[in-house]
Amino acid sequence: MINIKNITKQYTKNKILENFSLHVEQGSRVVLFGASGSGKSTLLRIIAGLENIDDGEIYIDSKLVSKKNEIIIQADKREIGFVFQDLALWPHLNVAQNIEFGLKIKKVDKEDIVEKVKEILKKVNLSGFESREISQLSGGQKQRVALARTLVVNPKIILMDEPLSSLDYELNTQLRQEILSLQKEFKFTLVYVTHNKEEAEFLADNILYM
Amino acid sequence: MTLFFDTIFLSLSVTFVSVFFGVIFAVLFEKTTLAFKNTFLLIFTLPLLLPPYIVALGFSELFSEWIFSFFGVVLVESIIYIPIPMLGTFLLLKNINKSFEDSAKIFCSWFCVLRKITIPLISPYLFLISSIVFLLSLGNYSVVNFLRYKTFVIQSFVEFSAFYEYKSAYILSILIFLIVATLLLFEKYYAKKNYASIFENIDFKNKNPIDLKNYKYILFSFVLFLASAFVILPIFTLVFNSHSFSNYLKAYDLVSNSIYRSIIYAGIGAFFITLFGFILAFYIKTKNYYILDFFSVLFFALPSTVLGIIFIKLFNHEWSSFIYSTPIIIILAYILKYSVISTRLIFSNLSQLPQSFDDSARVLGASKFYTILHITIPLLKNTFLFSYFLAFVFLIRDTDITMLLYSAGNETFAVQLFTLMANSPQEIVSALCVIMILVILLPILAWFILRKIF
Repeated sequence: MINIKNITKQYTKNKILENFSLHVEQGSRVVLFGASGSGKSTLLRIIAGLENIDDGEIYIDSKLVSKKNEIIIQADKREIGFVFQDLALWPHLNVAQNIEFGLKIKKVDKEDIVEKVKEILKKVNLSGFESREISQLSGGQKQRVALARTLVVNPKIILMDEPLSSLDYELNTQLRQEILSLQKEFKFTLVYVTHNKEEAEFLADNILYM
Repeated sequence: MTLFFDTIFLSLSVTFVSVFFGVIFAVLFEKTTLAFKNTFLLIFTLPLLLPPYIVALGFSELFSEWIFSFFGVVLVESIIYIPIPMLGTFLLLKNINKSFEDSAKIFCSWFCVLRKITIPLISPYLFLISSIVFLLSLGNYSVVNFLRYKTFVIQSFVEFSAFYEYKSAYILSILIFLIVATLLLFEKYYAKKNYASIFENIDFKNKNPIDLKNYKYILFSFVLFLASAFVILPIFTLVFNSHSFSNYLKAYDLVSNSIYRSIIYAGIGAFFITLFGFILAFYIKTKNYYILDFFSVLFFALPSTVLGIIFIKLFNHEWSSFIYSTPIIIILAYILKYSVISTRLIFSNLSQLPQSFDDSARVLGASKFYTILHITIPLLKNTFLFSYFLAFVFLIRDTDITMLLYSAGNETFAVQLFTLMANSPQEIVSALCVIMILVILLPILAWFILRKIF
């Protein structure tokens, strides 16, 4: 599914990743675990196609997507979902507009969009929240909207960059359970970044210590 | 009334053209891999730093009669004001939380991200920037006067100077008062409330700019053409028309005294503007005295002619002749008009200082004053320095307010140059303009050097 071969990434003189390789099987859950500055988030951005690499190659579904200093397949063509650490919900769009953004880009029929938004909101326990403004949501609700926006376009791979780090323990436990259930239901490949050991052990098939 | 609506139409046209080009340039210079983008940014910023009539003179020497028309005024004013939306949008694009754009890049191309996410996200601030351009264009005196184009500001000035009549000045003041009040309410209760979070940046800078690929040569040529036509050519025309070095010596002899006066007034004015700006910013932040912010923006937005009339009414008395007939009136007007620059700049940096810095000093027993002196001010020293130099440049170039308030023997370089333009040989005027450009560029150079040292 994802095959990373001997990649190197550095910012100015600081080498973030050096000769790094990783193979992720389809439908698996890999957790990248480690301290700040170990390159976990950078690796996710590289897989997503948001950063290029200084050396090595990356394959997704056996297709070469990135090589030395070149992004061959751009982020929007990789069929990847990404949940950012700060969730990055666009404040000028309401809940439904945030979720349907990717569907509109894919030119899905208007009626189907309404149906799919309704359906995904039900899955993340936010039915009836369509017209809510982002600023009116709690931390947990924002988290669910970010998940819904990612899931609704049905990506084969979802990358999550410490999505639960800002939540309290109780909500964190509840949402990690929901992420696991959704992964089992939608069967996407999950690459998850965290520095919380308990979270890592709960979600992972494989834990990669970085 | 027709003149009033004509002036509004002129200012709207200037605003549209400035914002259109300003936003395009900002996107090209901040978001893409365009070659020499930082150099282009500096070139397009230059017209804002010069006295506005210098750009007008450069164009008049290039295009003769055509420039003395509605389209000529729109062209010249737009070139002068393009830096405001360009630099404003540039900073907005630089500071926007990159994950908003990254999360959209997962779904669509860069162009689509800009169109659907980035520009809509910064649109409330773009509206505020556009309004500033509109207000500045509405109050512009020296360009429309030089290009012999009649506007409401010219009318209000003529009415006052010829007949001591204030009607037009009152109408302008009320209009600007209402616009400023609306804008500040919009900023405080809409833009900041709903959109402040878009600037909460985490640690990802624009490491992946838009690759222009096959368009890079076309866009480079397009920007180079505009930089040449808008800025380089008019300035080069002035240098070319000055003919010889001896003309520079003659020109310098004519204005050497006013150059020194300009530097002294600007130096003193910039010091008080920075000091006053800090005091205002401190009170706005700690006591929420937003009314101070309102007045500083209002005085900046008021046309210089109106502000000049207020000062003349206020100080043209026997008891205040020590103000009215000395440079004190000019410096006071500078402080009132330009304090907004340092107030906004210092307020923005003051707001970014963590409250805990202050609190930890207070817990250790430091008084409020001691904390300001030993914690807050040292932390803001670069901001003070920048504020000083920015104010200095704006004061050196100021023509409109100084022209109304100077007394005999106190004229500044910008004012003397403006008056000499009417009755001096073209080569001397061109040489004077080049000297003015150098006088303005020197403090900017000094700022760059001092920034490296500190």
